[in-house]
Amino acid sequence: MKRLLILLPFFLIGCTPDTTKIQNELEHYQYTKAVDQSTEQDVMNAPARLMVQLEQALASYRLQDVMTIAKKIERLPLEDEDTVRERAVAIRLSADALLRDVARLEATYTIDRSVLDTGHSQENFDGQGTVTVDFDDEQSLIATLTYHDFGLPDASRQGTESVRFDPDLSARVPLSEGIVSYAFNRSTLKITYEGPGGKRIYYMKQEKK
Amino acid sequence: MERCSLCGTPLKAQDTACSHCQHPVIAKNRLRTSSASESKGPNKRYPIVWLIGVGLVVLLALGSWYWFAPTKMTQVDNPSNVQPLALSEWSDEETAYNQTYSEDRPPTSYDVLKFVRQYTQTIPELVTYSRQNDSYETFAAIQFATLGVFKSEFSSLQALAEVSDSPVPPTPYTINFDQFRSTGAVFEVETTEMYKIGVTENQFVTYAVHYTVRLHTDHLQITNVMRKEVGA
Repeated sequence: MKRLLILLPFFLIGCTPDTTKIQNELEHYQYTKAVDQSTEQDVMNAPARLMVQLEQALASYRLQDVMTIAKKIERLPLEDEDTVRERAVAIRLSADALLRDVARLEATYTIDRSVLDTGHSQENFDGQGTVTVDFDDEQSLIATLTYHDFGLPDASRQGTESVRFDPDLSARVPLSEGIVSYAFNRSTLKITYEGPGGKRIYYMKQEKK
Repeated sequence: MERCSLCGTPLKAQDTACSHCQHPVIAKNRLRTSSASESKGPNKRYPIVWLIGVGLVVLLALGSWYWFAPTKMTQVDNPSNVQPLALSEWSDEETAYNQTYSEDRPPTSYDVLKFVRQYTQTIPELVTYSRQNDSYETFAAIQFATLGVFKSEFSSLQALAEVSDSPVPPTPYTINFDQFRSTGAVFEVETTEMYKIGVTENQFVTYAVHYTVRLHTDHLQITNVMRKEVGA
């Protein structure tokens, strides 16, 4: 019995999570490991769990969720210079900047000029129509493109298409014999149809709102 | 000493009239007061000039604070003036499969998510695999996973394989990370993945997927995938 009593503190030390290790994992952005090695009673368990959720939202490009979770983390009683807090702020700022870009890009675009690039030569052609761009309410970079008599006069395009954009606001949609790529730059949209005959490039600008 | 303006007799300070000729001193006082007030005129302007000067300095100080100091929003929401993440840090600008790690530089939890996300981009190509004509090495998916995973994925992605040679081949549409945890050196990632299989609306295949990812020597590798089609 005496021996057990003597050994009890060592057992307790063994059961206590190593806070230095958890802090080290947080500083290396290993949030799942910090959760794995801590218990719910640990001070840094809740921030680590929220950081896992925040990174899941960011990796899924669910920007509105990113904003909500990051603000939750920022409200936790953490030091201003705490790495968890700083990472949450950095992620929120990134998402916020992208959300503002997305809001600015929702518009109707008209053709500024259209170019046929055959690989050997470039020539202008008469492209026509407009494209209206609306991003989804969940703010996950999915845009609905509505075509109004868009493209070549004898083969114009109507209807809608859902396109998933990357965070750099570009997208590529493969076709059986080619690819369509979309790229926003400031207030312009470039749509490129690339196939065996070359590239048809539409340089589009926003209609004034 | 002041003297009587009429007779020149010296005057005392309290005299109201000359002690010699009784000429009132008040006239002289008035004169002196008025001349004094005239001479004090410019002095009175000093506080105004002074106030204008101070005002300008304050305005300059406020202006430079407004210009150089962090905004109120930044101060409240970003007290340590953190910068946003670079796009390459969280998007797929940089390839994840060839990243190497060590004890000093272990993979971050976001590295694992990015790795899985980039693997899903290889799936439309993976489903075009032909046992007769292709070798595994030519498929990007093999760089993310073990051979066993490649084979199991090929057999569980039949819905996508059936439309792989259609005019509009399948493309990754959304990947949602539902669960993410680690146990020791193993990462468990659960996702819901949607692949677009046509140009019109609602032409999708959706999968619920459970990935097991490990750090294999110095790089990440998917060692097991459980994929279940949950809707089309």
